[in-house]
Amino acid sequence: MIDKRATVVILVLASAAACGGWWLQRHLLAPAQTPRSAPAIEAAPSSRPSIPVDLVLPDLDGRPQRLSQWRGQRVLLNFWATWCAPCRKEMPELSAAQKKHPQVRIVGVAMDQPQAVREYLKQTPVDYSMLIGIDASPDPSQQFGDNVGALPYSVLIGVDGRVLRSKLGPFDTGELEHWLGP
Amino acid sequence: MGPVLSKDFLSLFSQPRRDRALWGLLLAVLAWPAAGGALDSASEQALLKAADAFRLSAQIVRPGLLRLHWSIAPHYYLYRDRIHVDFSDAGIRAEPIRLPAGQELHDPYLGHVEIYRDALDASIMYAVAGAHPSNLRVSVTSQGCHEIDPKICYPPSTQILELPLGTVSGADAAIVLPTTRESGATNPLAALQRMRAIPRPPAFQPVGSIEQVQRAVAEAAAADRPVLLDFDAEKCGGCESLETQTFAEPAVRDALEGFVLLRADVTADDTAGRALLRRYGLARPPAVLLFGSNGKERRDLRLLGFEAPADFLHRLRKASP
Repeated sequence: MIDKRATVVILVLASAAACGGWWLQRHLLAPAQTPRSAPAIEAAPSSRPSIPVDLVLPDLDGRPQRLSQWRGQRVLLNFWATWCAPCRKEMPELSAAQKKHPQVRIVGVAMDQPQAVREYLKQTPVDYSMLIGIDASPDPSQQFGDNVGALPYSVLIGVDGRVLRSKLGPFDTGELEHWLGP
Repeated sequence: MGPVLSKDFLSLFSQPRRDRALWGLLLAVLAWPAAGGALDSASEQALLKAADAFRLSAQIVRPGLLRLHWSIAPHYYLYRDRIHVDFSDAGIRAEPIRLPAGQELHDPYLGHVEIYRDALDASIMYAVAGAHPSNLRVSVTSQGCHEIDPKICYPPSTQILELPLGTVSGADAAIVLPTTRESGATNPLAALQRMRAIPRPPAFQPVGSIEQVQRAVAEAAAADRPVLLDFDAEKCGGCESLETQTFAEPAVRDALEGFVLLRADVTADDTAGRALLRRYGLARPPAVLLFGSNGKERRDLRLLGFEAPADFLHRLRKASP
């Protein structure tokens, strides 16, 4: 038989655990999910490269660009294609985010034919860097952990070149802000 | 720490109900964030690879006619105008693929597009010119999207199918070869993992007369087994779909394991065939009759026409609970 004091202790413990659980859930287990409506698909940590990945990809003029040239600042890679409607939908949001967070380098990586990409961007310009990833081997989005092989796929790279976050699917409302914020 | 904890834990079960309820509450609350975590990891598994979202199978229905079937996972769709078929063998002459009309979709970014949900059947007429290859090698490219959050789209993916020529059914050894991103590099290991045999319909015992059916049903009842009697004929649209889509579906095949499978082919339209149709009050195939393990037909479960695998499974479960 537990006495009254023990009952109180258990209730206090239970409420503390509830608060702790809620806090864990909100801040640690689901860092990027301010609105919890849509499931954020983050790649499992094991699929993220643990060492810095460097890539050389051509830009829109065909000049090779090395990813590590932006080492020292955070880099957001956004893999996309002109045939991918959800990718196109979030591109203006990425442009706005680049203006708001100049300390972060946003780099679009088009998994699409260069000609189609150039034509599309002529009609719908973006305010961030653009590289072409389609001819690269191995597949750059897979190198960054896109195991499903679908788009859009985004990767946040830290100042040391290591992958901080990755996500398959468009950003939820407020999620990009959460990624790029201080 | 360990022994103390376990002693406390064991003592839970010797305590009065109110206290046990309190401990239960504590445990439940402690477990709650863990359960939330499990849910999150479940949603991470939710998105399928292209080869699983759009499962392709192929069959040579008869020499010169190739049938392609896509089984499309719920909430995924394929674009009609992104489906391309290519025969790598120069000796194969093929007509353009015949695709049914798709569903209209207005996409604010892509305009009006035609898409397929759930399933797609397409056929291709081909002819073998010159040397007869042992296999029909065909590469099939398709592209689609996941239409609910998280909305994603897949790059064009190409599957290479190899079907043995010379066997009319063609379904025995057909293998789906690696899926690749059309442009990107291939991961040979992943490709190997995706190889799988084409679904194959189960074997039926042919029956040609009322007497044969009655005997087979009686034998099944003696062995306490339910019976499926399928009325089939050549040039019967629904029959073929039933065979290649529904009966061939692995889950349906599994559910049919316990059944005695009978097939009455009434193509010849002869006296025995007509009598058999009349005996069961049928005008024409396709028709699927189910008999309980007591040998009595379940009239309420009769299927006239085609039915997709999921609904058909439901019907089978009712016949053999």
